[in-house]
Amino acid sequence: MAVCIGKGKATAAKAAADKMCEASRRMAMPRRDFIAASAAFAVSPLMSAAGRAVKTPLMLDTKRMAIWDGPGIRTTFFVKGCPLKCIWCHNPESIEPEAQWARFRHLCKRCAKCTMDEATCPTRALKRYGKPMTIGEIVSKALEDKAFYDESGGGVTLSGGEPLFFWEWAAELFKAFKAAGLHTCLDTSLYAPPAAIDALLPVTDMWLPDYKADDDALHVRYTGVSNAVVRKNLERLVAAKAKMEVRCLVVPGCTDGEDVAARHRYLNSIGVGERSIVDLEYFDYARSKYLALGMKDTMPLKPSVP
Amino acid sequence: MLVNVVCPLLAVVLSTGVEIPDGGVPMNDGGHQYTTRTEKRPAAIADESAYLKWKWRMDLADPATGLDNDALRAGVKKIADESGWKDGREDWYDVAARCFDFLVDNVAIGFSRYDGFPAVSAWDRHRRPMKAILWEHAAAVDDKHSPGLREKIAQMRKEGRASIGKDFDHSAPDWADILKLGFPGMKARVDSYSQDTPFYRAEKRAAAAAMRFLDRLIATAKAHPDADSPWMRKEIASLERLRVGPPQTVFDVMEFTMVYFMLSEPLNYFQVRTLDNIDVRWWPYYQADLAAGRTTEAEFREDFRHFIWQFGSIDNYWGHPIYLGGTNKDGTSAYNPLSLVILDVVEKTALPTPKFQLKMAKNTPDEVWLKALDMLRKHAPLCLMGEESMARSMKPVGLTDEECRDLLVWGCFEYLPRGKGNCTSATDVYLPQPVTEILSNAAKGDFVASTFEGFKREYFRILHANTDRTVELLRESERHLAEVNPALVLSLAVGSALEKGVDAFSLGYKYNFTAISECGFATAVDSLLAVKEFVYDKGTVSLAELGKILAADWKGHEELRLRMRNSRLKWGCGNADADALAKEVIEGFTSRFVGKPNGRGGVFVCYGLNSRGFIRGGRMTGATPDGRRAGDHFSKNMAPSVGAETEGVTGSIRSYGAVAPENFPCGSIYDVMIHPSAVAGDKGLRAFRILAERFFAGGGVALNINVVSPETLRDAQKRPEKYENLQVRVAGWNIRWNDIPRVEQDEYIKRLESMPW
Repeated sequence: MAVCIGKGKATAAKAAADKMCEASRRMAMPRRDFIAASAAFAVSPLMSAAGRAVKTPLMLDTKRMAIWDGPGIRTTFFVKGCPLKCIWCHNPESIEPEAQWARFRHLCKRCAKCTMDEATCPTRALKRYGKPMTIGEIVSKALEDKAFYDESGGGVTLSGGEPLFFWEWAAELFKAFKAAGLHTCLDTSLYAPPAAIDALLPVTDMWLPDYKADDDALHVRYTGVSNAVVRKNLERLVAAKAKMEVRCLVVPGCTDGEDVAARHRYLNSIGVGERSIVDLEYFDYARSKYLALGMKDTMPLKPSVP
Repeated sequence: MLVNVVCPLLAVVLSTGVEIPDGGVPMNDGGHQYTTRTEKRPAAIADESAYLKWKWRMDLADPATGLDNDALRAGVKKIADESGWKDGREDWYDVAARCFDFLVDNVAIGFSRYDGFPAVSAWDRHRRPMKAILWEHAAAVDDKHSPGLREKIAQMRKEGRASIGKDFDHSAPDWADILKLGFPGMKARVDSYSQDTPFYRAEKRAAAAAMRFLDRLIATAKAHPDADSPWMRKEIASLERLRVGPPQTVFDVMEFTMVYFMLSEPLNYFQVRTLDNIDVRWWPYYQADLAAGRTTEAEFREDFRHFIWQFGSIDNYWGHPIYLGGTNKDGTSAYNPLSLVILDVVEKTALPTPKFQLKMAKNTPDEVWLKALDMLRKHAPLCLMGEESMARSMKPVGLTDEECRDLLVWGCFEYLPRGKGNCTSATDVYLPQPVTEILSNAAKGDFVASTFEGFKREYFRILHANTDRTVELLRESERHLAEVNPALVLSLAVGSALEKGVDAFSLGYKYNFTAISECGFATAVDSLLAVKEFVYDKGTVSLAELGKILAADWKGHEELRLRMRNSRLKWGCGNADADALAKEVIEGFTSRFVGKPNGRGGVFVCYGLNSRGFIRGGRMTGATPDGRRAGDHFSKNMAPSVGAETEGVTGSIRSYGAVAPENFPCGSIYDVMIHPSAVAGDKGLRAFRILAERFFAGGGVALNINVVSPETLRDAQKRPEKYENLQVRVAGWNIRWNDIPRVEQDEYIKRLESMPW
């Protein structure tokens, strides 16, 4: 059996993780087993430098031919799990670190007996979000499109979820990307401890941080956390002369108007030039995913263009 | 709403003018127009746009000038029936020449102040006059020379092994040559041969008939009440020039092309499968016209818009082919400023046909790349062709470097040495058939294999037998092609045919290729992979059980069917094992015949495309282990099966490259679907170009691209009236979304939705 973890001892967690790998390779897996195994996997025995286990994320989809996640043509890998709860999140499947089932109601035929198995769902209404991938597997997948990166000045982007939620793992992954000669981008909320920034700085070619709101009250209201950590990390990146493109999502009725100007003012004040700031338009296209995941749809309405 | 208007009381008319019975049965079968669009024929043609649209969809010729299409058909039938061919008193060349004379002298002609090109009563591409006799005559020729051949061919088809046909449609004149000669020059050339053989007799008569046709056109135009209108004045002057010499102006070239087309396709039978490398060919005329003040860019644009509307009106479902660009002898790009004007008119006219193939190479100018890719984002009917890959694929059949440099692109995406080659192509070998045969034998206990290798050996044994048999029957079937349908007009336009004294289409070129198409390639590979995975690797089901399940079309085994259908082990996602097996299958197939002698002095080649064969083949084939149900379509062309492209467009391009497109001399096509967000904006355009360049670098020959999202198509299903101009590529050509039968729309959306955007 292939081992799913890059390195580590045969601990109980590893056994659970191996079970998970094996189970995921079987055609069908009872939902309860799957979730239990996934949860075990999410705290897997990848060892930190200090010899303790670090969190390893489950992975969501891989997006190839991504052109909006950094320079050139890229492959973007999405981790599952995020410490923030942004009400406008357009990847709600990426919030919980555990594996999740989704049932897309517009496709579901409501069979008398649901197979609870992606492979045998007749209409592909059933989707399982979150699957284990080893660092080796991710790197080899990324390398498949190397010719496209080389010609376009592209590479790989790690997104999520929040990659820095798993920062020790992310640093290991980026080291492996760099060893394979790949350009790396990190798409992050920067809601992470300073150690995470330090660990990723040497192996990240370009940072794609969000700056979601300048007014901390708004930041707390809409994301669930304060922007103080984010600002500190932004300043840290500027001080380290990290190459970056700061994304400011403009959500109508939430973080538009004066807050956008305030974000630009703040970013300029710490030394982020206008050319490195991008205002992103908000789209409320993810509603069916909230519904499919059984989550409360918190997305603000996008006013229709007159 | 124009789509699927099914009215129980009124007969409706398709966009091509074909009437369909009460109740509105979609005409998506049997080689007919690929459309379900129903439109009412207008009571009167009141303006230019109505005239252009309906010109080739109804009879707009003046009945006082000649016979209608039914009378023309009856006329040639009478000539054939009364001929002395059957009892050996008359050569078929003579009969065919008499039919051509009759048609040219009697077809009704029409002109209009709205247009600069003539109309004819033989407008209906489904009911060409010669079609009234050809198939019956083809059967008689077969029975005369090869008794029993047709039964053997029918047997191959009945058993779902191959469809073997006769082809009268896949060739094109040597445009460069005939533009220099003009009609009088073509006549003088054939008249210079003194041999009195049936071939030369027929060709001389055909050339004289062409001149008479010009005389009739001029006389009719001059007598027309609108003869003084600007369009008709221009047209009469041009026809008069063409009567006495080669084309002088770029408008003459368009007029010449249309008159040649009318003589060759409606009045003879087909053989204009490209209107040529028009930007390169027309550029000297256009430059000279501009310099002499004979035209302006604006005037050219208007003339050209009318020219392409002729083909927009004919609305051939495959998209009438025209190609642009290329490489000059000195290695520079052959694109010129006219190329961009042409592309711009094509974009603004927004028709699904004609279809423009663009030769792309390292020397292709940036502005051509940008214009073409931007147009592709807007669904324009363009196909990108990689010059280097085309040349590489032609090497195994012996072309010189110079012949490879100047390949004539024609048909769907095929290519041939300009003026030196033709290629018949009406034969498909069904690659999934051996899998179904083995499993059927396994169900009966007549076949066992303990390993997948054993299964595979049996697959290749049957595939080889099917292919060898097809080759043998096709050789025989093509031995007497000229006796079935001598290409009278084409032979006038091919110097080597006149030189050799033989029919151009049959064997008059230097290279007389016969193509055999793969059909159901991805279905076959995925079926083999499914047997490997579920029978041999996992042991989910035994071979005999699977055979029984397939014989029952999966009845009672829906879960297993879905597992097998949804397996990730498919060809088309860049999986190395799947790619290796795919290569083995395609090479196991092509190695049986590529480069080997055909029945008319040339060699066989293989096409990686099959027009609509994937529908026909699928219909006659039982369930396959890839989860396909009996009767469902096979995979299309060289595209992966629906749902197999789980690694997106880059993965599927890798898979295509792995099957070595050089296995397909003369042409293969890859259909790619791209989500609009991946190619949006300037950055997206750059990424788009890299994608295309990587495709060509990986050996890809013809790239058929759809930039469309499933959301858009679902919306278009709901509100078709909003998407009147939305075009997609279906089986290798552009078609209006609204014209596709609903079941195929659904399949198309399914394929899009299965891709990881």
